[in-house]
Amino acid sequence: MPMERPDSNVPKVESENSIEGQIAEQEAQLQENTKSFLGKAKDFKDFLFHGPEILKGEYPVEQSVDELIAEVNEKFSSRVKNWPPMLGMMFATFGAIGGNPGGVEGLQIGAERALEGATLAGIAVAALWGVGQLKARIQGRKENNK
Amino acid sequence: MQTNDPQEMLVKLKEEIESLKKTDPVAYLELLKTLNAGITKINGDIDAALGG
Repeated sequence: MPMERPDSNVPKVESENSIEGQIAEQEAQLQENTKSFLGKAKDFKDFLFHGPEILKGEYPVEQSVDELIAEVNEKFSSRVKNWPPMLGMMFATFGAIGGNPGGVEGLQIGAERALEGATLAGIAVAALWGVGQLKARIQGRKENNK
Repeated sequence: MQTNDPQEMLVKLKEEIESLKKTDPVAYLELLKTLNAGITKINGDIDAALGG
């Protein structure tokens, strides 16, 4: 009786399980990280919701853009540059994953509760920006692999 | 044309992410890892900025 080669079918199944397991693990971790973030974020709601507008000089508030940027830079230095797209992806993914809060409704409710008084439009713009960047990066990686 | 309706934008985002999970789970996993690394850094930055 021929022996089954160890690298025939088993590794493929293990690989799929591994990806699924890793996804579940990362989703759980993201939810915990997001809860932690939301607990901190209320102190930074202006920046978090208007990051893209700030960086484009379109922040519609009484405080001048220059003053706001100076305030943000004073607190966070150059680190702010990477925040808006990262935040956008985080919230978009968190909303898509589901859980508590989950889905679009959960995302909206969670964002409203965590960042009281801010506009959802700001975070949606950031999220779209983040997804767009992700797509471009994945596309670039695929083209590089050709 | 980009919509200004937050709810509509969020619905589109949800569809984008859910589609990515189904069509390219490896890319979705990469997204999750990137997000977790990013949010860990952001949380650390906030703690540092607050002196915590």
